[in-house]
Amino acid sequence: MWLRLYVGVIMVLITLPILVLIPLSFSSQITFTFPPPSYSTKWYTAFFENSQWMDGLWRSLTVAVLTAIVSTIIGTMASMAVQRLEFPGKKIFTNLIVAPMVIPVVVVGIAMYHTFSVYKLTNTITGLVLAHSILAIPMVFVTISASLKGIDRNLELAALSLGSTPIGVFFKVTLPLIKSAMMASALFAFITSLDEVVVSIFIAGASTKTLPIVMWENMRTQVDPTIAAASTLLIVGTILLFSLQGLSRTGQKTDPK
Amino acid sequence: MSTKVNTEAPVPGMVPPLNRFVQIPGLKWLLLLVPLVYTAILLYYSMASVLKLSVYDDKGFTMQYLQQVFTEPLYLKVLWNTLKTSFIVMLVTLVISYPIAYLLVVMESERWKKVVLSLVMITLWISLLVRTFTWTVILQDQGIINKLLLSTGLISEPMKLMYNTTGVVIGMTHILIPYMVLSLYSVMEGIDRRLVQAAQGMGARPWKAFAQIFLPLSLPGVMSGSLIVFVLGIGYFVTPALLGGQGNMMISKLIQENIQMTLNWSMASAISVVLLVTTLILLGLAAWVARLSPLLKGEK
Repeated sequence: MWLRLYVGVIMVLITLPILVLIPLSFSSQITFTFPPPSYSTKWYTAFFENSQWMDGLWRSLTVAVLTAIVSTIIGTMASMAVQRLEFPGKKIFTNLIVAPMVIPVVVVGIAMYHTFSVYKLTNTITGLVLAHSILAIPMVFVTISASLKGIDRNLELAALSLGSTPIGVFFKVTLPLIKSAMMASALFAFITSLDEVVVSIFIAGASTKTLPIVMWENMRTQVDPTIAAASTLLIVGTILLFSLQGLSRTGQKTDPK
Repeated sequence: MSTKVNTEAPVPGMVPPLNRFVQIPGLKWLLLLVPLVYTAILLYYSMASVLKLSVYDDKGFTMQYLQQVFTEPLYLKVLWNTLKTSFIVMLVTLVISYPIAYLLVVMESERWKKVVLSLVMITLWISLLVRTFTWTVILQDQGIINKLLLSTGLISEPMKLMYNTTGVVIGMTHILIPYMVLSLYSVMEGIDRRLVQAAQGMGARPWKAFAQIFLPLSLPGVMSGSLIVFVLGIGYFVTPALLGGQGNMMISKLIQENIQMTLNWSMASAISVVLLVTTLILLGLAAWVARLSPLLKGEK
């Protein structure tokens, strides 16, 4: 009983701070007084009418979509290799692929900044996608590997023994079975890219500022409630994506295994 | 892992399926090499070339920069502050997360379990920048906490909650809780709770059964969760940069300042080496703890 109460209080304490921004984004004041004395939607108007914010948003979405595609393909290939092939050094391969999850992001950031400036990739969308995908591939790899481990190998074996080619088996049997895991990992990759600040601080230039970079610069200089509006949009977007993913998960469960 | 696939091959006498798959040599190389080359070039080559700068400058090999990291008071202060802050964050996160993970394991209602897990996961997915920013709004001098305390008369002037270690600890704890909860939960889930029931059946009080049976069995989770949170903590950039002040700078910020303000690549590289090596040692330790744990070893 006490445990439930205690955890209940903690859960409220974890969730509430994030929700504080929502009423503030509707404030009529330029200061962050809580609760706002009166309400208006002017910060949303400011957000949608300011090219700096809107450009950042579109750029972020573009980079995030491209990152999701690249990292889902490469991450899936890596997990297929680990789960379905025999080769020496499998453990090292796995470690090399998942390492970006734990290598301090700043180190990744300066390393890429260093290399990318040589190849003129800083201040480009390509550079951002390459950098973000390195951070997203581990998520895809972990998600797809779990799914590949979970599916019934016999289905693939049956298809093989019936004369299908390995490639045919992949596209006709394996791929449909891991489809929802691929969707989920594409989503993880998308969100990872959408929220990436540290590496982007180094790689994004004046003309390739992503939304987090615009937010970051605003937080450090002229904090005005437009940022609360931007944050609220991100919170709502994340919750929507999260529940969509939850729905597809539950839909998947009803499928026969 | 690989041998497992083989043993699972069912129908005896059938063509071993893996061989069929490997029959196309190109496919094998494609699956292996594309991800490997991609990460190797983008990440490991870049890291190697930047880390080389820590021991090589225009004059050739030198230990000067690494030596500086461990002798100059400024750098030592940052190192100490990073370790101290991460350690406090680790402890606070552990204390907060343990009951959450425990409740997740003992809770019977699947529905409530899902609610708690979803809340933990949603906070994990909401933008890091947004989560940090919200704390700047809450913790500032005219923020919600200070206003509340002032109006109740508990304090007569605003408390300094931001631009110091307090602010960084609060923000980072909030952000790292999901990692701790998930680490603890994954180990606790594997604990055979019949052991606790047996202890109670033989007359142990619930509290004693918990302390003598469940708690020790959950220690591998405590260890690996703490190490992971500590590792993530020492590498954090955004939260300390926004909630901390000049007096409690952390390693990541120091690296960034060396690159973007003073253009001192060698120094930034030397600090990165220290950060990276510390991270790797701690992760090795975490992997070792996980391997020692009979629960994780016996993973299906």
